Amino acid sequence: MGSMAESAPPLIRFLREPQSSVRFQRSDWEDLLRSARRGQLLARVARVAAMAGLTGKLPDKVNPHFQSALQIAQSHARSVAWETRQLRDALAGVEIPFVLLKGAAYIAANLEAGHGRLMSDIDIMVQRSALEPAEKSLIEHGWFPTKLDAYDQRYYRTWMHELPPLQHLERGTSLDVHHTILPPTASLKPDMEKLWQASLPAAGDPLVRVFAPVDMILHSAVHLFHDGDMRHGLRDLVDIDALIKQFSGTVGFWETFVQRAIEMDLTRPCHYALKYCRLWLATPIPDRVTAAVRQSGAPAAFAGGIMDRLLPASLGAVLEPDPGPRARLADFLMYVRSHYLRMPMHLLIPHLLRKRFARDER
Amino acid sequence: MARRLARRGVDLSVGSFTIRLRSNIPCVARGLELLYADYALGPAQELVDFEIRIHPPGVLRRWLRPQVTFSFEGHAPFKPLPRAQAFALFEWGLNWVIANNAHQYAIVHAATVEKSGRAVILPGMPGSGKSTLCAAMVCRGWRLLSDEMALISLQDGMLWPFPRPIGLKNASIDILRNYAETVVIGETVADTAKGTVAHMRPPRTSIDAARTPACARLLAFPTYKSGAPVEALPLGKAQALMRLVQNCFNYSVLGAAGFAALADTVDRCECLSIEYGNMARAIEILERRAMNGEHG
Amino acid sequence: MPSLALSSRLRFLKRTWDDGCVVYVVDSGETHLLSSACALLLERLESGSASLRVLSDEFLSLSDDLTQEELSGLLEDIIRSLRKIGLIETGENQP
Repeated sequence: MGSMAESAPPLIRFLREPQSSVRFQRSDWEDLLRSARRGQLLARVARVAAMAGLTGKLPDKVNPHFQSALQIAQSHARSVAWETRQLRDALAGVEIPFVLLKGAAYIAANLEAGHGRLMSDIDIMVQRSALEPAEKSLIEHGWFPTKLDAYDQRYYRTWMHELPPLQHLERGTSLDVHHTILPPTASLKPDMEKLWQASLPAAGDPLVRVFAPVDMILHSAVHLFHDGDMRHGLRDLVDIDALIKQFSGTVGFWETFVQRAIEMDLTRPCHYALKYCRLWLATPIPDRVTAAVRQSGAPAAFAGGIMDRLLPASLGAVLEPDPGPRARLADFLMYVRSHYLRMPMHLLIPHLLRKRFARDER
Repeated sequence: MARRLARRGVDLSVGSFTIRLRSNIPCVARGLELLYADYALGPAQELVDFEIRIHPPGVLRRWLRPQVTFSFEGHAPFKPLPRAQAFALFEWGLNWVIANNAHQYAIVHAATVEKSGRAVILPGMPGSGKSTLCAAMVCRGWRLLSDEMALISLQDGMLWPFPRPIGLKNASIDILRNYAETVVIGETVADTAKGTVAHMRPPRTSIDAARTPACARLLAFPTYKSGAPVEALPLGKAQALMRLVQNCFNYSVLGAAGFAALADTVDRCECLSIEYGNMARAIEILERRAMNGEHG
Repeated sequence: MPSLALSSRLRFLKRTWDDGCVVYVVDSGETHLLSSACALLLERLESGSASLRVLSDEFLSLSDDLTQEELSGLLEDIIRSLRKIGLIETGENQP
């Protein structure tokens, strides 16, 4: 995809090189606005434009869209700060520290990836032993399990890596409480204790934590390729791109990163994350790094071939005005695959059937 | 028109927005032809802000009964509705799109009209009759800014026009039909979630002035009460602000900027609540209050 | 002697009119309608914390038709409602 820079959709061209947008036609902007909105990336695009000094150079009709998107992102950031404070108050009483995950972490740690980042719910992680007291205390402070049938309850508790989603009674905000970054049934088994030990206070508060930089990127990569919802695939790549650009200037960063990926048994999702960040977003990643990760992370040729055909179609779904049958099929196969990675086959098939029917009923 | 609407779509220029609508549903084309007759409908001369489709839903549902779906950016936020409601669905859907994507404004659920540079905001509690009042005021020479949403600019507090066909319900439809000779009303659709609905064509002059903002001078919370005399009561500004906040669609998105914009609006306006059974009399009072020089 | 102060945890904006005061709490996004008396206390505390006795004396000097009892009842109500929404907190008085 070396020629990508010229033939790529405007959103990708913009993310690769914001300055290229000074040559955009009206139709390119229209295309960018649609794809970015569909991929939950418009506020991020607006932030990148501002940082690239493009503010005064945008067409008049683009400005209000950017302004509007940034308002939404700011409201999400405000909500993350407030919810974090409430969570801290709820869990400090029982002395349970927690790690903010993904978007909430980028925002709380004031990372570039958090600027213009939209949130749908807040994800946190507590230690496995703290899961029960944490749930109890959260319920006492107004977070209640969302209404799920008994099957879904069991699905979450037994096979997945989280409590059933919680929702605050008064504020209506959603919260997912995890105790690991992958479900216990998955074949990859990263050592959670190591992630905890390396974690850092988010803003000087030992109870509110975020993952160490390399672990943050690893987790984002895991999320990208193990989460069934590929509508956020491009956004996850954009997160990883921003994290890499912010952290990779530190001396020894890439060595630590490769070492950590191997140590945590996560070279495979890393291989894909780095590959597609480079290919799609022109993320600056040294060849020696991709080579080292590929060496231990690339799957057998056959499986890799399938992934390399599915992923671009699925990741790129937000770029098409009307995702065609190919993108939809790729999307569905990615969904199946993400579950296949999380659950043994005898649990997976009944689960998928059930979900398919539940979807049609809606 | 129907063919263009179904294929490349029709580009509607409404106020500061350009909307591309695509639909293969005949009553949407008919509604556009009748109610948007005075709008620029040609291929857009400037950037298209939002793209909307009104189309039959998936295969299974289509087979069950004739329905239509509203979709925006590949996403369908509402349940499908009976096909006869397709044009109304477009109007409701467009409101939703603006309320969720135009946060350069504080967006208040209200009808807004203007005369001699003085705009009136009529926030719409259920049963307020704001749209009927608004339609009648428009028939009396007021400029229509919007029958559904006040767009208050966060930058300068000005009200931006977004004039579109005025939504009428139940008894109001016939009241307006008989109100003035110039009134044009589209197809009546029964049994919607809001009862029987129809839309009234906005005056050409309002559409021509759709890029000229206005300054709000009167904030009046109307309540329709059959047979009641007209009574306008002064409303304290703190109370008025609280009620404005309750009617603001995107207040939680805007944060401090929204609070400031709404508080400034309240500061700038005379505030009152008005209970009315007689529309002509209510309009007289609103006009007198709006033109009252005391506030600016 | 306990003293009252504006909350150190919450930032808020406020607009005051004849019929009361509307407060927007920046952190939580909540909006509250408060009485003019509440607004008076908030304004007083914006210029620095004070003990209950000092506040009571100041309020008494502002009003010529309230008795000491009526005033302390009023002050109690104000403090309760402001504390409930987190705008003020009680600390130990600094000498």
